[in-house]
Amino acid sequence: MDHERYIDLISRDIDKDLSEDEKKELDYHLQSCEECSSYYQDLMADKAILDGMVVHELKDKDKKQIEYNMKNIKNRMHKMKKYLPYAAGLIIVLAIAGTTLSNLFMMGRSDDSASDSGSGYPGFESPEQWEGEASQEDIARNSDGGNQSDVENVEISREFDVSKIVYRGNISLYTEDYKETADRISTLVLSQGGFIQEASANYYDVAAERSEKAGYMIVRVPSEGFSETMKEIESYGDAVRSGIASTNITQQYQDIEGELDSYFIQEERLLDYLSQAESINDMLSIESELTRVRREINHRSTMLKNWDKEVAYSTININIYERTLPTSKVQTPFEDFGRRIREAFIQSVNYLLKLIVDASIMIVRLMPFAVVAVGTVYIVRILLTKYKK
Amino acid sequence: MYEGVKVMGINESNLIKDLKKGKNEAFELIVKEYGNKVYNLIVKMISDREDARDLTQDVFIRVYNNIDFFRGESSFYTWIYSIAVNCSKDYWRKKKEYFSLDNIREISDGENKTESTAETNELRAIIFAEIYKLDTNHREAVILRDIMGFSYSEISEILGVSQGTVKSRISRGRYKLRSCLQSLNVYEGGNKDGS
Repeated sequence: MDHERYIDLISRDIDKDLSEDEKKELDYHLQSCEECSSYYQDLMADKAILDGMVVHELKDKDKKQIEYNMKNIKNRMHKMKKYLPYAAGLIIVLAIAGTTLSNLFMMGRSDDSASDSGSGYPGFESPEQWEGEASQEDIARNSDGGNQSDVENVEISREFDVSKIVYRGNISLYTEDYKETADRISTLVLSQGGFIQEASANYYDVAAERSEKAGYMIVRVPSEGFSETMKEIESYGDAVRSGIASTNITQQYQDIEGELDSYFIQEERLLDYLSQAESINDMLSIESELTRVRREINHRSTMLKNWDKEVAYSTININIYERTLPTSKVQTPFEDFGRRIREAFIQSVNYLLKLIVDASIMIVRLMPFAVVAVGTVYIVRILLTKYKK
Repeated sequence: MYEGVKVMGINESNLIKDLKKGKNEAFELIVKEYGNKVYNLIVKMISDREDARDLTQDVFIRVYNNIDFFRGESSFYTWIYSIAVNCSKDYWRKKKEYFSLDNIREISDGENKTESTAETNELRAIIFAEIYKLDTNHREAVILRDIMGFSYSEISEILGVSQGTVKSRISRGRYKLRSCLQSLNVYEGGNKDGS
């Protein structure tokens, strides 16, 4: 027989929680089960005894004491709350101070790294290019020698042969009249003693029934007038991009010069041997070697000449874009609408990504403060709880 | 039987709002309304009137401190009783569940002095003492039901367990209690009707 079930039913019956069917089932079982019947009667007796116990009440003074305690805690909490803004302010100040100090530290590092890598310098496509090439500004500063703070740079410049540097310049110009600008550049270059190496112009459609002229020029100007020429060309229009690059070829130049000297000595000796040769075979072999040496001499001489030419005449790449002014035609503002939207979207995405990265860094940076703040709050809460008690 | 727990003679939501604001009238009202009920519950739970007074103060302080956390998911009065029960359980743990028989006799007297014979009071004290020997879950369930007279649903809210669990704990608690009383031959003198 499942007494456990009936024990539960008896307990619930005492509490009047049984359904009619359960009650009938229990009554039927109690008639036949003496053990359960006895248990039922005992439980009823226990309940009867437990019923009617005295209700204990607080004395009035105890109630007053409770009210007093609650009011007291309220007042204490009110006082504590007065200090909360100060505590919060202190934490914020600490966080800001920590962040600022951290920023200053990071800025110092980034300045160093920027000066090391030379990133962002105009006219250089990549840091590698910058590392491989000395800038004209550096050269100018090094050659200056008047600034005592740059003593170290001046010392370096003395070991540095500035005569074997190849300069290159890049300029992008917006101009209102392509032909006039191109003519002015040609005149300038020729007047400087330079020449035009390459030039090209073409028309392209920028909108319906409207075309613009654009082109490029590669000019060579004497290195002495390179900087002045660059500045002059930039003034011929709206320069949107301008950059200078230089390559120091002193080392290679000196190597080739050395090799050339060596070959000249070889040539002299071979000529000497040739004059003293007695047999045809000796003459032929010396002639053959002499031919090889002269080929090497020619090759290196050409290289040096080309380098001399590169050094003597700097190269300037000029991109010229003709920009029509709004005069007789109505210009639609939507001609580069798609591009502008795309650029704006990309800028926003980049900004958002930067924001996320900055926020992540800021969160990580504030973590130590958060740990301290949480710990402080936890301790204050424990103290408050004890204080209230 | 304690009947007062089922009657709410006050506007509960206003009382809660005023408590959150820290109004002095709310403190007076809550102590007036629940002070005796909480005290009586704690007395029955721990069988020590002096300590029950201190615990009652703790309960109201906890109520005030935690009033912001009351979300109204249960009745306000069952929430207060749940705090009282938790305070009592903390007390049990600290006191290592030692219950003095003298204290038990003191708190288990009958309400009606003319009907409460010394023998019945003694029987009640014995039953009480056995109730305190039950394990915590069964003890609190039996006290809340058989001594305090809370319904299954109220006990469910106070203890934060399902009604099925409440029924089971009460049934098991009563069975264990009866087994203990059986071994003591409590009703040997033919006092099954409690008279």
